[in-house]
Amino acid sequence: MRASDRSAIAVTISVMLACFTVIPLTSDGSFIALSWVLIIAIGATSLGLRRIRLTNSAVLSAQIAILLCYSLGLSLTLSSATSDLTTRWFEHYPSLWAQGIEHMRTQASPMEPDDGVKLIFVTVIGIIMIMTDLLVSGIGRPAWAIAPPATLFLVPALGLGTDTGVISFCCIAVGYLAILVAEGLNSTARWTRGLSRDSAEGFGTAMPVVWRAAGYLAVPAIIATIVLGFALPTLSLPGFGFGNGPGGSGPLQLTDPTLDLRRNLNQPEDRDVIQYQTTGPGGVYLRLASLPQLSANGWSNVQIRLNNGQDLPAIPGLSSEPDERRTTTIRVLDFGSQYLPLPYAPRTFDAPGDWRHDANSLIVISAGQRVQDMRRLAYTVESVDTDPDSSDLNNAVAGTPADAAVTAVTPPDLPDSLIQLANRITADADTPAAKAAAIQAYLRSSQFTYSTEPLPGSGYEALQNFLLRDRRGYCEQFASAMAMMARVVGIPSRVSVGFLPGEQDQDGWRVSIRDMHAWPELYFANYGWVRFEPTPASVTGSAPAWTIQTEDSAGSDPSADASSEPTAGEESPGAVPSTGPTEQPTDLGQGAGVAWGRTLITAGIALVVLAILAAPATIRVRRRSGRLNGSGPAEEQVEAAWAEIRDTVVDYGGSWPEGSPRAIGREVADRLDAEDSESMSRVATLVERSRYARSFDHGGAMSELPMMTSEIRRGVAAPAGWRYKLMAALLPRSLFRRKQKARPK
Amino acid sequence: MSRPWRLLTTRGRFFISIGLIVVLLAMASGQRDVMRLGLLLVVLPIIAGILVSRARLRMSCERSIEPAQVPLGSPMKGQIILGQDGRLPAGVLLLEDSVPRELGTRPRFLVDRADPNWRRVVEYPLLGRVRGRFSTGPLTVRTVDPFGLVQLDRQFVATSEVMVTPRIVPLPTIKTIGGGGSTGEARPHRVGVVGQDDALVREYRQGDDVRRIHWRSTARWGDLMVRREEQAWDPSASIVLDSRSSAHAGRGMQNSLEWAISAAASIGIHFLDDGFGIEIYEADGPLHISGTMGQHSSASQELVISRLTDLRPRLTTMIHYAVESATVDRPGQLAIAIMGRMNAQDAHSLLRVRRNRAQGLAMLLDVDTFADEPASEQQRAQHELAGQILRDNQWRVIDVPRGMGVADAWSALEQLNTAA
Repeated sequence: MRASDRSAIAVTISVMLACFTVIPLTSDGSFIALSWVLIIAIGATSLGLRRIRLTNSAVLSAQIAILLCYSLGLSLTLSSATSDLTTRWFEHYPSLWAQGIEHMRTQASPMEPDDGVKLIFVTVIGIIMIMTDLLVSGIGRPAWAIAPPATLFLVPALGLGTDTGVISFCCIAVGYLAILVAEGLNSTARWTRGLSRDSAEGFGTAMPVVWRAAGYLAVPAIIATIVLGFALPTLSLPGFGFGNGPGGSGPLQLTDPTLDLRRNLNQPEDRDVIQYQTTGPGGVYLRLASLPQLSANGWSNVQIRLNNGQDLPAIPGLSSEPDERRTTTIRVLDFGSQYLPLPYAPRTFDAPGDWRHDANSLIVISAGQRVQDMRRLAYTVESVDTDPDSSDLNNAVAGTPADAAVTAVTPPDLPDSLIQLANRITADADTPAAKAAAIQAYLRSSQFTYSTEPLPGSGYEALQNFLLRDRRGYCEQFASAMAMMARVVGIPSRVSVGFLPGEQDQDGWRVSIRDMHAWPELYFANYGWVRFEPTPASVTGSAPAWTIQTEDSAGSDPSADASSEPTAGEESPGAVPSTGPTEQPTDLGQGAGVAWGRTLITAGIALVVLAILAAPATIRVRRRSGRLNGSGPAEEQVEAAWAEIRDTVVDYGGSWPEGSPRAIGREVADRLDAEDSESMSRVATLVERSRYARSFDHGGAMSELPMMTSEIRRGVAAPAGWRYKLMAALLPRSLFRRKQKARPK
Repeated sequence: MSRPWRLLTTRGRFFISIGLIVVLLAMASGQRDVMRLGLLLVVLPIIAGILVSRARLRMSCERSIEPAQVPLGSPMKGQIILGQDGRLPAGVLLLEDSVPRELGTRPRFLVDRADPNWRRVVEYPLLGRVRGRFSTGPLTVRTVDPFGLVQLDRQFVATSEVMVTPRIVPLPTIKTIGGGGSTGEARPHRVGVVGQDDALVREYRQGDDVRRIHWRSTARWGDLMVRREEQAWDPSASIVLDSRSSAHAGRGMQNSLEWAISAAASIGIHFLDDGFGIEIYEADGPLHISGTMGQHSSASQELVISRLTDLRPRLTTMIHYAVESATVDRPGQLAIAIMGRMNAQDAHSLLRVRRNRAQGLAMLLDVDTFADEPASEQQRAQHELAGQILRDNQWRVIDVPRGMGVADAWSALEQLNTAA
């Protein structure tokens, strides 16, 4: 096999493996097979053309030609939304690309299958293949060959917030090591030269040796990397990450507005955040965002398709748009959000900055930074009031909105207790509107208490806590409970987050930070999204007129009627109750768990490190106590004491002389004080006797041996500097002495 | 390993540096998957370093070069016998014998089997392309990992010595060169056996060496008499070798200096075989052949070869030193000059060498035929003039073009004589 063959095969394998790393991006795995065909074609081209010794540029051009042909050919088999097969290929191809880019921009990972995305993936992988081949075979820099496949790897690694996992890493690592091994084989094959005779059989090739060495090296390295990858801590510094930021072309990350909601409601001091004048009667609810998706995690955003422009599309579901427009001039005093506060349903708006809107929810989002600082932002918006008539609404049926796949489904894992509750409340209501009114009336009843400190929990658990156990909560609980129950009874629903209308003064309306609010919106045919207000009147005032069943049909629940009486007739200024502006930090149980786990891991690692650091000292101390415990035959005791003295001398950086015990004793004694040196020579004499005397007669000196030994130890340690003392305690050299001796000079 | 960093190749160092940066950045930004890539880059060289540096080599190496002394241009054969007992390290062992460039390329081979005990004989060709003494070895064992991240060089200590001598050609005996003034039939050492009673004497002349006074005849004649025959019977030859680099041209083995040295060595050996004492004078002075070793011919032969093997071209532009030392030294009966490119001045100074010698032979190398580009017209004329001056002063001169063998040139000198 030639060198170029090995490189080409290794590159092909490497890029084929690298394909797997982008799988988390899309739910459509069919691009893999298509890319593999392209990769193998390009690899085979490289192999064949380099075999016949064509120049790099010729090989490169051939590869690019193959890539272009394949990409174009693939595009002809794929269909595009904006162009069908009858359009010319040169229009079809870019339209597929545009479609794919748009799809990637708007979809969350994993993306839905899309032909444009498939084309883009296959083409990009082809480019990666050509670049890798160029690096390895073209310019002969195989070490750089990690760059192109790693680019593929980094897209999901950085783009997705989650860990892409070990398999993905292994694909990249194995592919890269394959390239390096190919280079190793090539360089060893080139090594042999200038021999006239060699008794060995395999002349020059060292395949088995190289593969063996590669195995010895690669397997421990990958395992160690994976283990270390889990063991090492990572910290997420705020504002430092490069993963979750608004990438230039990646999907916009939507913040969860409910997080702000809770925090803002608990603000220690109330402050005005928005000021507005509006032409219509009364104030307006200023809507920031709407959460259409109900899942085990509660209400959340879904991926939305953002559009440009100041004019918003038709109001979803509303059969006839009223002509009368309300013009609202809004001035933000002190508030920051990704969402633009707008009254529902906005028609056109005029705000400085780069804003995008979503056709389904009619919310407007900043295209730029994640949290837009909107201080002193002033803008005007034209909206229409979509308030339905109460009696008309009663006859309306629950509709099917455009995003019914999200807003009309009841999650299959919704707890039965919640479903039963919803069905029980609405048992007597026969129309959708009546059911909605019943739910609202139930929530506004006196069974429920407004409190910004509900039982902790998230998702279904929070709903269960609120509806079945605690019955305490704030607008978010009320809104999500109502929206959930509406889903159960068959009405599409979503939770909107925004501001209450606020207080009116001479200049217009003032909205304070504690006016932040959440409310459900329910979808009725011909009426579109209709606002309901389940939060108790103490906070929100009276419920909207259309949400109260005037007829008896819904009056089954007496408490609902009682509480839904308009106790506060007007939009009562100052009606916002003191909701206990405590600053109690609202700690989420989950977060605490994560923190505990991390602390434990860190502590564990610290313990292990400490144990490793302390190991030499421990071994040394154990060895010493074993030697000086005064048990065993006299000869062994003497030898042990002698060994201890030797190790002590070595520990403190001294050298142990060679020769007979007496000579050693004399030399070591020279370094000591007069008293210690006498002990040293006595010990040396003892050793000499124990080793060489026919019968060892210690003459009673054995009892003094431990004392003399420790005396000598002190004598050796006394003149040493603090560094040596520290070293002798923590990292005794004597432990490593034998190894040093064994090392050949 | 005391310095692990030294163990790493450039690639290994880059891996560690870049890997550490990636790991730190990934840790700071919480990207665990990116951190793994960086970790791999860090871990690979570390593990490779541990594997390679922990390995103990238990190898034995015997080496030899056959033959250890060759004339210029001859092939040699190097042999390495490598033995291994015990486990091989988990790296790739690349072996390279260090061979001086003058002898050929460095032979390389690698250990291509993983079993613990084997013996292997490797031979490689060498060619003595440059005159001189060389040493091959020691054998270097380079332990590398297959990914090219670490590299550990270890060396055996043994080396082999090689001597590439000038090419020595057996020369035919020239009858006309021999006992000074005599027929030359008698070989010098036989004459010497006869004894001192044969001594011829003449009257002392101003300037004669006191040691040459023949006291017995002096007593008989009542006048100072000196031995006359000692000079004639002293069988010695002085070879003047033009070793000036400016006087020679040509590439490598084809350099005219190599021809000159080869001729000097051949002639020197030839005369030593015949019992002559010889001395070679090169551009910087005598090579001290006769002085140190006396007349013992085989030792002197080795000395000639050894001295001429070590001879390097000189930067001197004149042959002044050679001529001076040749005239000052003991006068011989024969002067042989092997000259490169000459001019008239060189020729005139060369004339002084023959002043107290019986015969002068000169080989004038036609350097232009050795060189790639011809010399200037003027140099050419100078050279011819020099040859003419020598001929006019009863030197036997032969022009040696490229391609002519030393033996041919030597025979040609004889024919020249008979023709004359």
